[in-house]
Amino acid sequence: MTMLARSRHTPEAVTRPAAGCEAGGLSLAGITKSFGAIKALDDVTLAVEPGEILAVTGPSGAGKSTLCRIIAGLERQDQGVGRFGAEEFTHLAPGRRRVALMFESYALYPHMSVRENVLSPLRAPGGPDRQLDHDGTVMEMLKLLEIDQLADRSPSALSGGQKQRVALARALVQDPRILLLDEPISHLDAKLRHKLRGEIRRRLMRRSTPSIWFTPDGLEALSVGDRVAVIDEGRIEQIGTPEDIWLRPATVGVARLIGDPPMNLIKGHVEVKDGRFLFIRRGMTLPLPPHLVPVARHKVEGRVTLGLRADGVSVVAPGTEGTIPGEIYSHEPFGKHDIVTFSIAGEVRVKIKTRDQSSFRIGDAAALLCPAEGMALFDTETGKALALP
Amino acid sequence: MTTVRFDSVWKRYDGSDLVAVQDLNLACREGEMLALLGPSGCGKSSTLKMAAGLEQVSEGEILFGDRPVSRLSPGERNIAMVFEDYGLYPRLTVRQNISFPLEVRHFTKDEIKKRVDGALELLGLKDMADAGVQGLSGGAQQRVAIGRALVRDPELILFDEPLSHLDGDQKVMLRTEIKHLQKTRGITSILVTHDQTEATAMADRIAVMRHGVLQQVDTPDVLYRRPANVFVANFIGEPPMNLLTAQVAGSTGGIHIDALGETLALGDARKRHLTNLRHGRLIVGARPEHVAIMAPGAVSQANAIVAYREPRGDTDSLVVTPFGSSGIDIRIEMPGPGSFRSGDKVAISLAPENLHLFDTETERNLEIEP
Ligand SMILES: Nc1ncnc2c1ncn2[C@@H]1O[C@H](COP(=O)(O)OP(=O)(O)OP(=O)(O)O)[C@@H](O)[C@H]1O
Ligand SMILES: [Mg+2]
Repeated sequence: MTMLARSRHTPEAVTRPAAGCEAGGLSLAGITKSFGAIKALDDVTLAVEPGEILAVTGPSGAGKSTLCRIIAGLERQDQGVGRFGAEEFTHLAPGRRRVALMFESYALYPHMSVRENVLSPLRAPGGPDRQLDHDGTVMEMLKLLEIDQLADRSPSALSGGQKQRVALARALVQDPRILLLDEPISHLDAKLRHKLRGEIRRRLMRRSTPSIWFTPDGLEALSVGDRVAVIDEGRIEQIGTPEDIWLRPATVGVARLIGDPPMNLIKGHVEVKDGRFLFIRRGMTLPLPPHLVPVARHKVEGRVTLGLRADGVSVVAPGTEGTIPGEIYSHEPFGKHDIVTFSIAGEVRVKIKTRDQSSFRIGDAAALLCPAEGMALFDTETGKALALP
Repeated sequence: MTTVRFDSVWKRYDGSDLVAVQDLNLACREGEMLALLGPSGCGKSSTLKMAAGLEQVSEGEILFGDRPVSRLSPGERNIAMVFEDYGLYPRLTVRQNISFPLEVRHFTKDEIKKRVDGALELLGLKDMADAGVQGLSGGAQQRVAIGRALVRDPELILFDEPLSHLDGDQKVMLRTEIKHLQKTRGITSILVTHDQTEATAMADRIAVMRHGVLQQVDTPDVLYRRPANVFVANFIGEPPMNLLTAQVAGSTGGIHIDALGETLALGDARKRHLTNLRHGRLIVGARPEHVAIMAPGAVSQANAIVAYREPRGDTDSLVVTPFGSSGIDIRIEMPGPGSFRSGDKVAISLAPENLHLFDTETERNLEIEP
């Protein structure tokens, strides 16, 4: 795990030109933080290049906000250092780090209007040049976020999503050494989220400074990050390109977090019968595809977790050759696709994402077809994807 | 169990001339989960807060069954609420928070234990039962709040963005479980959410609101397949539907799509909807998954360029710009991870049977009788 975290990005990930000499990437080495008995962050090591957007995703309580607060200086790490370029910053006071942070809780000034809230960091001592046309910058940002008509309101007269966008605007108008966005668009509807994901990402790409976008939504992370870091229980589980994370999740924790619905995870073990490698659990025997045989060879009789991607499996007529029998447990039609829950031996539930518009009746007998491409194998003990030793 | 009816309900906030909710007529049936869905600021929470008694009704009446409630305090309404800011007692443990509503109602010790254990189990809170809630993550706090609402078996449960701070699999799991519970216990409930996936997965019907005005209320499936107007069409579905201007071409049911410079034949059955259009203009809607995209080849010439790609796991979400159209982007969804990248020239096309037709002026769906 630590190895994964330490390995920097894959070569094709960052193609943007490096910025001027004063700009520097952010790097964190061995950041550890405990609150009492709880280890909120455990040896977090990562680097974000100038101009790069790193998306950090993880379940609630994984340590995302703690990491954010440590970089901003609102919390002090127990161990480890952070640097901008070669310069260490983790001993500096928050006000001297030039970090722009958008809080998950918004943290707006109640006595200021929306416009003044967004202007406030530009006016702060040490902020950017006071002579510039800040009002223009602010109004342009409010417009982008579709809250320009609220400029003179006070935060108490705003809805939840409006407050969130004020906080986002306040972070985006700044010109910091690193921009940290903690769940910047979680409270908005799909349409606005879709628009802002693209708009904000394109703006951040033009910057010469690094940005980190924290989100509990794994798909959002895939969409906005040049690279994605998945964090769970304070540890970095995987850092990679969006494709890496989706196609080759390094751990059960990563697989569980990404996708709607995420990968199905089924516990069982590997057996060899008549020279064939099988995944076996009660009610279920599945021959392993050729690409998994080399790794399964080292786990014969060992406990493994089978991963089935929801879009990689399908429901077919009962009795079809090479399928797993079971029944339809529930069916949720989403318009462009349906999610069918398939029950095996009354105890395993598999979610299937299908574009096939046939009708599924709850309780009907059916069979599950699992093609090779949608399958992964994890070590149940360690949670890691099986690899050659 | 009960029904909820909003009868010409209006909401104006003091000191604001904005109408937060305008003449709302809407009913939530017995045992139904009704979702209020709409963009930020459209009046969803205001509507829910009026049902809860946390905000005054400016005009109109709200009825639970036959009982007008707009003058009753929240405590007199026998409802439970799950709000986005959790509203837990910060000094109490998880278990104490969940048992609180039962204790003030003098349930027996055994009953309390039974119900609270059930809720802890269901919501995956067993391991933290004796922890203080203050130290919990937002997601865990929300599960405590849901548990506290459920243990009481109230007449009506009001949910305001209950899942907005939960992550991937917890969200998927909890929405299925809430739905299951709501259905098996037949709890009438109203769900406010900005997340259409959540609304679709959980609600029987969805009421779509915009600027305080109800736009359409129907099952998720109908909203998706037969949106009543441009707003609903564009709001429901992610990424949003493409809306393109078009011109009726001749009397044979042909429509010329401006952005693609291409004429499509709608067929005889649908061409009658194209009469009476001002100057023969209309708006055509095409869902991103209904726009076909190919690498240019012998049969299909390049007619657009990929401007932007978002990987979404099993799907790629693309934005393409047709040649010769200024400032018009078309959103496309295709199975992912795919091979198109920004800058690639591609051939895109629309199939007439998947197009939605709207009036340019009224923005209403031309194929739905008003
Ligand atoms: N206390 C208040 N005083 C004045 N105006 C308010 C108040 N609360 C909300 N509003 C306004 O009323 C309108 C409806 O707000 P409401 O909170 O119902 O929106 P919402 O649909 O729940 O939005 P969101 O998804 O962002 O939470 C908005 O324009 C909002 O700015
Ligand atoms: Mg709200």
